[in-house]
Amino acid sequence: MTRRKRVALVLAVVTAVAGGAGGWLWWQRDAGAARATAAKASVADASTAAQAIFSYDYRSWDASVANGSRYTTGGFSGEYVKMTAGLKPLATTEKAIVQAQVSAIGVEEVGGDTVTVLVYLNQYRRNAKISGEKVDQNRVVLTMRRADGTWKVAAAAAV
Amino acid sequence: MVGLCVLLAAVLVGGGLVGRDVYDQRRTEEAHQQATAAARQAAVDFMSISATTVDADIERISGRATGDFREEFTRGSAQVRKAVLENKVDSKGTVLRTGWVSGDLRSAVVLVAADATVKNKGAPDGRLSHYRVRVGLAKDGASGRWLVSQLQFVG
Repeated sequence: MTRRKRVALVLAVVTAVAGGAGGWLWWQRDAGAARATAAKASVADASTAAQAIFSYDYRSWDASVANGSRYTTGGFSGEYVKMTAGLKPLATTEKAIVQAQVSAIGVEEVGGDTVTVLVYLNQYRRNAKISGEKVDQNRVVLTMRRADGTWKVAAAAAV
Repeated sequence: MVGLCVLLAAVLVGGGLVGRDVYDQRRTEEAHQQATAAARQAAVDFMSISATTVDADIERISGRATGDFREEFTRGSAQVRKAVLENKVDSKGTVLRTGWVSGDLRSAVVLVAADATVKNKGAPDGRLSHYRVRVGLAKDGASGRWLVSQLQFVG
């Protein structure tokens, strides 16, 4: 092998290694940017979803459940329907109206396709048994999953 | 040969630019983690005060405080000390969950959901309280530590 050929070979190897490293960095950057975007988008969607899912009105029960359902995905969709069906009889006799409001929200963890979000949720409750309005100050963790281009609630837990 | 040299140069320059972005991302994510860990610790410290260790407890909180929070806390600490001693308070805080709200390399806002068991003269067996805390933090330039600039209970 001539000296010139040897240099060319070394250059080719170095270029290939550098190219590989560059590709890996590129992939890392995309993954990092995706995490940041996921965090931002899921928090925005979680805020809207929490208000829809945790608000009820006995006068328009089925409509509020249908609205809430739009923000759920996977196994939680069924859970949500079951849970609200269980609440309906009491809510109707008590004439319950619950308005949920997000008081603060933050990202706990960003995974691949799921983001867990901590929500400080206020529920303003009115019903026949209480006079005026009562406020429940809740702490809720929502697991958001990407579905149909938005982030939907895949699990909800009070903490 | 010239072609290879140009290609290598392009790969190195491109890699350098992308590498810089990755480095910035990592630093930001690291800042999130450090700020969150500091917020968690701050909440535990703030809720864990006992009559037997009150001076050290107060010292620990003000040692991690800065700005407005430090001023407020220092101003009120004599009163806190007195109340803790008089009521024989023994409070222990536990962090349940955290949520990062916003921030950058030098400041952050973090939510901390915490419970505290508070024992005192009136409740010797302890009473469990649920808290929704929001912690504002600032990174101290000299020490690199994340300090508490604000601590609020969210209504």
